[in-house]
Amino acid sequence: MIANSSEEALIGQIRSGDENAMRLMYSRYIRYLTAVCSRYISNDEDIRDTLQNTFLNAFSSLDAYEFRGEGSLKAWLSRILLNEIIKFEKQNQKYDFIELDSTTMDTPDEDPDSMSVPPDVIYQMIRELPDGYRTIFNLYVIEEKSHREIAQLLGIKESSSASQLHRAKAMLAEKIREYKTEY
Amino acid sequence: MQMKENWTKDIHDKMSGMEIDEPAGLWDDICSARKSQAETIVLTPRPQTYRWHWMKRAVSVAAVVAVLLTTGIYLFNINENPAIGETTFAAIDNKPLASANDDNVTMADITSERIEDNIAAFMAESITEDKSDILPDNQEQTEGVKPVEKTSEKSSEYTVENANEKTIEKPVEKKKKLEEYDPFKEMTLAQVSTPQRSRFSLSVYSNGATKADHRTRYNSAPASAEASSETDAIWRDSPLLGILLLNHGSVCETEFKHHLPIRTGISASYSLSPRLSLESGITFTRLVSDMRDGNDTKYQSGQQKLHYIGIPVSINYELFEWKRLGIYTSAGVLAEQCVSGSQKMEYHINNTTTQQEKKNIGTKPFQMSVNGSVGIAYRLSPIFYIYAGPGISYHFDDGSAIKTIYKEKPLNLNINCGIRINLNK
Repeated sequence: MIANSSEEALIGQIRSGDENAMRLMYSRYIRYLTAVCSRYISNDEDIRDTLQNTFLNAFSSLDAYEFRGEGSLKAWLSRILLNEIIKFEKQNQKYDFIELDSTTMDTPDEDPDSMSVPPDVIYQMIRELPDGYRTIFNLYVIEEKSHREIAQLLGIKESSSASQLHRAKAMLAEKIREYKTEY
Repeated sequence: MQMKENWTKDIHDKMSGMEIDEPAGLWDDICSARKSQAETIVLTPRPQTYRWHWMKRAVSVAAVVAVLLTTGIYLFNINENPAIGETTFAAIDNKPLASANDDNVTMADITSERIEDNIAAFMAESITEDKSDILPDNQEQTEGVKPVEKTSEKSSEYTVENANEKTIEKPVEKKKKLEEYDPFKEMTLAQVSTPQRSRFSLSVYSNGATKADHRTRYNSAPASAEASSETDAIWRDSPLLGILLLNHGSVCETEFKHHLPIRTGISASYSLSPRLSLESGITFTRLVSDMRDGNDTKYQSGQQKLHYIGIPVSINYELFEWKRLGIYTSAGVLAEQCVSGSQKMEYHINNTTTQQEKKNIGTKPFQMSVNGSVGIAYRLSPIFYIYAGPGISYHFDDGSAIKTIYKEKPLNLNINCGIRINLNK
């Protein structure tokens, strides 16, 4: 049964033209990819388009995929998605960041207690961050990109990336604190 | 690797494995899109807005030149010497720097590549075409048909030429009238009537500054997901992202080499006192930078060209004059607006050029600088002066992400040289 097949076997079947294997690859990863995509993009139609482009791109580029152990297919799809997200962001967003002065940056904030906040609540909080701030927060904290890489990917200054991350974290920390006082 | 607070690590962990329901009917959409994709390859041409941008730029350049020339004529006329206004244009036409012998001399010649060659030779300082680099900033992913973009760089020069065709028409006509004009004869008469030197002078000059190279070495953070080395196809759309991802964990180097900035210009000065004069005009600056970023096998390389039009305002003070030589100091500000910028990038993954692209830079930074200089002016003839001297300039941060020589080295030493025409001296 292909339902339990490994990524390697799955790719082999897709390359041989098996439509069911394609569908299986889609079902196996689409929920994860949707979660990633919707952390960056807020509009439902845009999420749909980005995910669609991701799969179209993946299916047409399967020859370039090289199996590197279980999990590499998921990582590969994630990278294609991130590629599509960055493309979308650059086409649709004007990054108009305000530089924060060093005094604002240095304000020590106590770490909020996020441990007891459920993942779906955190997810919603990230989605509520303003455009741009959300992108940088996602790229830095969750995708673990450096400010240098973020600056290159988005075409912004490294200092902008750092200051916006600081601001984004402050916003999110505030949301978490508010949540903790309510619940 | 960045230090992480506990709470952001907690968020990272919670988000990493998160899954949510996909948009309804997405699979069907993908299937139908694949079908139509197979049937037709649709090329989406890039919106041709750049034409409009170039028109706007051409009009702007034309307007600036027209205003300056008109102002010049007006000011010269105030001086109650109608010949001066005309001589001004003759002076431009005779500019030695441009070595223009043809009749169709326009101001474009002053700004063209040709003058840059002359300047380089004039300054006896070769501009090496070595590899250098620059960080691609504000780059937009190129979409659609590439050939459309191929015109971008050419059009930057085209703009200036085009802009000046209209504005210089008049001077060229005047030049013919001036062929019979004898400046020396006119000068003698003027000297009799006004023994003082002219309050106005016009100069054509060039400027070259020091070079700046910059190299940083960094260790790309290890990827959280398994690194794979698939080479290309997937990164067709965004090879930059591919290079960044594939280089995770390896030592990368960023090299910047900024070429010598080339500045040419025309300026007119107004004498406030026998020694003090106020000078303004128009400058054209070209900044070229090369860049290479990545490691040995996966890297991006390219060249960035920026063109600026600037308006300098400065105060000149003549320290002393001896026979044909004069020594002066100058201090002023220069406001420059980038009018065109292009980037040519090549992405190389495992020794194959994945993509070449040329694009216009969307951001047009505004650059302010202050400068001071000392110089020697040598009188070649009663009206022609050649001048040269070292200067120092400080360039303020333009607030953009575009890497330029001015960002690497805000404080720049430079050599100014040029020809100044003083009338009625």
